[in-house]
Amino acid sequence: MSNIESTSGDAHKTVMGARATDSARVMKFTKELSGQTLRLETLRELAWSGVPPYLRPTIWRLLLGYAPPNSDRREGVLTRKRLEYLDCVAQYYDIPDTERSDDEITMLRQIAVDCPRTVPDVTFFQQLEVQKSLERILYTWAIRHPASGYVQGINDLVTPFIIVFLSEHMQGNMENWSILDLSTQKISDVEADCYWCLSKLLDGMQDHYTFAQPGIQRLVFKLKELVRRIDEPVSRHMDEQGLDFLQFAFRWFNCLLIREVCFLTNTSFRMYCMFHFPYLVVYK
Amino acid sequence: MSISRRRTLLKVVILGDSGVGKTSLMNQYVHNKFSQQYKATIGADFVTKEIQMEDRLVTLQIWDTAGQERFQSLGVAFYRGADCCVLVYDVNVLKSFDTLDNWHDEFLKQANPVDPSSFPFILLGNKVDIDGGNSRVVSEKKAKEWCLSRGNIPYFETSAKEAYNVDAAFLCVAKTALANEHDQDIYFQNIPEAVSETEQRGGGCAC
Repeated sequence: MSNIESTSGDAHKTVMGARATDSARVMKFTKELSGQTLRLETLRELAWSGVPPYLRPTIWRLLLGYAPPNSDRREGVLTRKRLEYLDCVAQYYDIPDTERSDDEITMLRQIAVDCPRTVPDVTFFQQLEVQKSLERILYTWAIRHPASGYVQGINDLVTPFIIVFLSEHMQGNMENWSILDLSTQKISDVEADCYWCLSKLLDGMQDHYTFAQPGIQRLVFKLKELVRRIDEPVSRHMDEQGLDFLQFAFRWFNCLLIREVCFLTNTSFRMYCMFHFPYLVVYK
Repeated sequence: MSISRRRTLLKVVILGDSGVGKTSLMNQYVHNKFSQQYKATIGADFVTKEIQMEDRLVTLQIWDTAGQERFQSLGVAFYRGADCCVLVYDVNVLKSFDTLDNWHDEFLKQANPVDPSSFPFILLGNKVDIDGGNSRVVSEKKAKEWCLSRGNIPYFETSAKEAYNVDAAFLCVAKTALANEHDQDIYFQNIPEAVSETEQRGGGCAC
C-alpha cells in the first residue's frame, strides 16, 4: 500500500498523453488498488488497455497471483516469499559442483552459456551482476521443476520481469541503468520477485517445456487450424510449399513472442501483460 | 540439356551442441561477419546463399538449429529433405565432441533418408582460434579418427570468428550435397515416368 501511495505522485510527471496514463484511467487503477481486497477481474479488465508504467510492478505482481489481493496481507506475503527464494538459492545454487548430479551440472552449464546470450544487444544485460541474477533465477526454477528443467527460451521470459521490477528503483533510460547503484537488499528483492513471477507464469504452461514440448505442439496445431479456417488459400499455399508451421511458429510460443517484438517498449510490455497473464486464467 | 542449367536448391542442416558456434559459422559464411551478440537459437532459422558451381546456379538453404537436447523432438520438421548434414563441435569442449554420435544417429533416425549409409555428413571442429589453440582438448587426429569410423566424413577445422576455413568448409558442403542430389537424379532417371508420377501423386495427397 505504502508503495502505491508514494509512487502515485509520480503519475503527473510521467503522463505523456498515452492512453494508459490518461488521468481518468489512472484514477480507476488507483481506486481499485486502494481497496482492502481488490477484485482481480476488474484489475485484469483495466490492464487489458494498458498499465501506466509506474504501476506496472504492482499490477503484474497482483495479476500473476504472486502478491495477494488482500492489502493487509500483501507486504507480509512478499517479505516471506522473498526470504523463501533466498533459502532456495542457498540450498540449490550456492553449493559446490560435487554436490550436484551430472544432469544438474549439465543444466547449470546450459544456463551459464545462455545468460550472456540473453538480450545481448542491450548493454544493461551485459553487466555481470545482471547475468548472475538471471543464472540464479533460472537454475533455482529449473531445479524446482524437474519435469521440464531449464529449456532455452525460458531465459527470454525472465527479461520483462527484470526490467519492470527494476523500474521501481531506477531512473532514466534503461540502457544506462547500473545495477551497482542498488543496495544488495533491493537487488535481492527484485531477483526474488522475478523468480516468483516467472514461476507463476510458467505454472500454467509446464507442458510447453517437458519432453517433446506437447503444449507448444498443441498451440502450433491450433494456429495452423485457425489459419486454415480464416485464410484457406494461404493455408493451401503453405501446404503446397511444404512449409510446416513448426518451422516458424515454434519460437513464437517457446519465447512467448519476446523475440518477435521490439523489446522493452511499452507496447511489448503491454502485450506481455495482455496475452500471457490472462492465459494463466483461460488455460488453467 | 536443360537439366544442367536449372536452378538447384540444396538443403543443409547444421547440428551440434549448444554454443559450439553453429549460428556464427552460418552467418560468417553467408554474411561475412562475426558477432558476439547472437541469441541462443530456438527451434531453427534458415538463410539462403546462391553460389555458382561449374555450370549450375546453386541455392544453398542452410538450416541453423537449436543445440539443446530438448529440441531434438522437432527434428522431423527441420531435417526432412536435407541434402547434407553439417555436424559442429567446439575443439575446446570435450562434451561437444562426445555427443557427435548422438547427433549423427538422431539425424538419420529423424530425417529418414533413402540410403542412410551413404547420406553425406561433414564435420567441423570450430573455435580453433581460442587461446591460440592452447585450450583445445580434442586433437585433429582424434576428430579424423571419428570421421573415418563414420564412413570417411570430410573434416574441417574452422574459426567462425577469424573466418578461417569457413568458405572452404561450406564449398565442400555444397559439393557433397550436390553429388548426393546427382545420385538421386540418376536413381530417379531409371524409374519409368508413370511410376514416378504415381509416386508424386501418392505423396502429395491423402485422397
